[in-house]
This record gives sequence, C-alpha cells and structure tokens, in this order.
Amino acid sequence: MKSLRVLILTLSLFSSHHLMANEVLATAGFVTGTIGVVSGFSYQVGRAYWPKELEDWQNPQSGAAVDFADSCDLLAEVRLVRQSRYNSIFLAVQNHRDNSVILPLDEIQLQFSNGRERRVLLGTAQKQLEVRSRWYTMGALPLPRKKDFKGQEWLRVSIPVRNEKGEDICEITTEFRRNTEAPESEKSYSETSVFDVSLELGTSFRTGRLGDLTDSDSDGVFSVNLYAFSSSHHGVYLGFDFEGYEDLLANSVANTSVANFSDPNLVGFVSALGYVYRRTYKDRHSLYLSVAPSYYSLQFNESGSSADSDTFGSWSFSSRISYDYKFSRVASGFWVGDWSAGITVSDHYVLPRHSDSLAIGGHSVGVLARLRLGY
Amino acid sequence: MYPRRGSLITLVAILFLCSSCTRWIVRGPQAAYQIVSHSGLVASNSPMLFEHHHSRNLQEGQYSFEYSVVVQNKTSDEEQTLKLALANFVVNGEETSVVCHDLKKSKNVVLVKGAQTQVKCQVDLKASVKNQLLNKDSQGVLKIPYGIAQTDAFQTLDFKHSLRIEDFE
Repeated sequence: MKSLRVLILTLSLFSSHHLMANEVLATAGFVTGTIGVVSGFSYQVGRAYWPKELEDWQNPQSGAAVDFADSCDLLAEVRLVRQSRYNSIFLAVQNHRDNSVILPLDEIQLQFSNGRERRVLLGTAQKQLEVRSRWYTMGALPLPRKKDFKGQEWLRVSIPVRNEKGEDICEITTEFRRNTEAPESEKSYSETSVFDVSLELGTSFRTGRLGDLTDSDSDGVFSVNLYAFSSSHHGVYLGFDFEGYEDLLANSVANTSVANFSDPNLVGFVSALGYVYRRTYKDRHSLYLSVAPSYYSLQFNESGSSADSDTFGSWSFSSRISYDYKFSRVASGFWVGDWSAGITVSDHYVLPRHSDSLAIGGHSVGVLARLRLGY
Repeated sequence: MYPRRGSLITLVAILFLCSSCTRWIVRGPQAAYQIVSHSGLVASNSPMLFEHHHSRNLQEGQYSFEYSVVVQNKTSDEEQTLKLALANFVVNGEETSVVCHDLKKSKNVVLVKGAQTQVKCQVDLKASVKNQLLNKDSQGVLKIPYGIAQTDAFQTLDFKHSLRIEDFE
C-alpha cells in the first residue's frame, strides 16, 4: 500500500480543478491527475492510500500538522505528511484572483530551524504550475531527506507566486512548530523500507531424528525471505529454506523406496509464512525477529534423475533472528533503497512424524550470512 | 509431493488474506477537498482526506457518519467564536441532526489570531433522507456558525458534501 502511495504522489503530484468541481465530484477521497493537465484524465484514490501526518509536528489544538495562508487573494493549505522513505508537503492553493497565477514548484523553499534550506524533490516533474482564476490545485511534494527533520523545532515553507508574465507578485508563507511537549517521533525523520528481500547462505545443524538421517554434523543451507511491512516495526514474511543433506545414512532409509536409489540426494525444504518484528537503531543497525508456522519436507532424488523421487514432511515452527548493518543507500530519482548485510540464526522445530518406513522430527538450526535489499 | 503441498497451503493462506480485504461492504458519503475563507478564518475539510479511519454506520432507519474540518483564525485581530452547538447539516432543504465539537469536546471554540482547531461532527441522517439516498445521490451542506465573540450575530462556514450510499453486499 505504501508503495502505491509513493507511486501516486510522485507520478501525479498536482492537478487543477475548477471550484465548481466540488459540487459534482463524489470522489473516493482525493482527486489527483496527471501533471500539467488541468482537466481530463484523472483518477481517484481512496483515503486509505494517503500518507499520515508527522505526529510530533501536529498542533496540539487541532491535532493536525497544518498551516493555512490567506494572502494575495490566494488561499493555501500546507500539511506535513510522512511515508516510509519521504516526508512530503501536501499543498492546496485556491486562486481567487481575476487572473491566473504561476506557482514555481521548483522554487518552493523550506527553511529548518537549524538554518538548513531545502527545496522540494521534483525529479522530472513539471517545474511550474498554472492555477487559473477561481480554480484550485492540490497535491503532494516529496522532500529530499527525512533526516532533515531530526532535532528541528520549526519549519517555514515559502511558496513564490508569479503572474502570467513571470513577475513575482507575492509569496505564500506557512510555518510549523514541532510540539516540543511531546517526544520527537522517530517516524518523522527515520527512513524505513516497506518491502525487503534477503538472500542467505550458511550452514545448518540438526538434532533428533533429522540429525539421525545423515552422518555429517552440519550441511549447507540457502534461504530466501520476502518481507512486507505495514508500519515501521510490524510486517509479514514469506521464507523458503533449502537445506542440503550430505552423507545420507543408509540405515535411516533402509525400509523406504529410497533404499532402492543407487545414489540418493536429500534436500530439506522449509516454507514459512509469518510475522516479523523490526527494530532499527541509529539508522544503520536493524534487528529482525520473525516467527511462523511452517512446513518442513524432505525430498529424495536419485542423482542425475528427476524421475525417481520421494518426499516426506511434517509441520514445523520457525523462528529467526537477524542482525543487519546498512552499508549503502541507493537513490535513483524517487526510488530509494538500501543494502544491508548481516547474520541470521534460524530454528525450525519439526513436529515428530513417522510412517512405516521413515521418521522425522527435531530441530534444524541454521547460522547464515545474509544480504538484504530494502525498498 | 509434500513440498508442493506446503507451498499450496502458503498460497491459499495468502489468497485468503487478500480476499478478506475486498469485502468491505458499504461506501457512504464522500467529501471532495474544500477550502473556504471568511472574516479572517480559513477552514478546510482536509482531515477527511488524511484521517484513515472513519466510522460509518448504516442501520435500519438511520445512517450516520463523521465529518471533520480544520479551522484557523489566520488574519482577524478579533477573536472569532465557533458556535458548534448551532451547527447543522442540510440535505435537500431539510435539516438533519449533527453534533459537533472540538478535540476537547468543547462546543464554543474561541480562536485568537493564529489559533487553529479541528471540528469533528457526527451527522445522523434521518431515515427519510437515507431512503432518498438509496434511490438518488444527493448533496448535503455542513454549516458551522461563527462570529465575533460576545455578539449574537453569526455567519456560517459551509462545506458541501456528496451523499450516496452504495451497498456492495
């Protein structure tokens, strides 16, 4: 959902609509349109897709991080909103003048209390926006870095206004103050990913009947994990582990069809769908804790033959703890990701299950190095 | 094949979770963005865009919903008072019940220059209005009276509201 918000906000920043449009639009929340198109193609977005406000910048009286401007026959509303990667300003301007005005979006300036000045992030979007007489425009403009908000007490947003000849006619100014009575919210300045994928490689140790299958103490394991976060801390993950079994003990499969294989290969396959909790420390360090019901299966194959195979499995419970160190931030236009490397310790507790010929159960504990890409 | 069975169960779980997201039934009144200005007050219904959870209640005989606006005394040097106890909601010329208050549950909100507040209103449409909406989309107007403190005269901040009821059940 959050990626959809990013897409909507960045691909369709602004649109203009006639004031009268209010009377006929029964929107599903909020109308946006293609940049530069005054009317015509537009699409509707449910309010559930809209970003949340910066909680610690909300005015205590109104419970909203909003400021209005009423000058130059223009009405304006500016709000501070946040997403996982960006903070943005929501800007609405209504033109009550008799002539069109031009908003040079690329010259909208933000001044932070520490003196830092920033301009909004436009990418290849339209740099100037015309607002016709009696029309309004609204949309969201991403700001370059969430980190800019850390430790700030106030923020001033200045929006130059020009006439059709390009001459400055006035400036819309709004100002925000962080609610210093409330603790500074990490969500207001910390970037977090929404979708992660991790690739992990390591070794696994097995106990119980799983350990009895092979002669070796440990074997290789490869893991792929997909994470989706609905908030900074909570999400779901889908994980697949592939465990190799070397030196299969002949007596462990003596009474099975595998006994007929001349050179059997054994692979453990774990699929898990569960909950993940994430905690980030000082931006670069993060901890992932995940738990999930899973299914552990063993697949026997005859070496060099895909035709001869047999499987046996049991339900299991998987838990994982991962530490990551973010070593690189990647930004391309509005796309922002980060690379992290770390280590995972996993445990699959496999419920005991046996058939006439084969029995499994016990723990499979893995220690893996991992590489994670966050988006 | 056990690996495939495990994957299949995972897939079914995902599909179940996704399908459960698509069965929210009633979609009621919606507010297009509006910003208005009178006597130094500026107000907008942008909370309707940014608040992610709105209670709507469609029951036999009555339909109710929440409507929120933010109001700021931007330029008036005089104190402006929002008389929320006198707020009303008009549909097709007919007044219907509405209860408005600010975040502190106050019904008389004084705004000095620069101050702002959020007004939350609970609109209860009469059964007759609800029945009309089942057959015909309409428009309501939320009227929030305001005036200079210590005077009885007041004007209203008006917010138009598209009304429709769609039942996807």
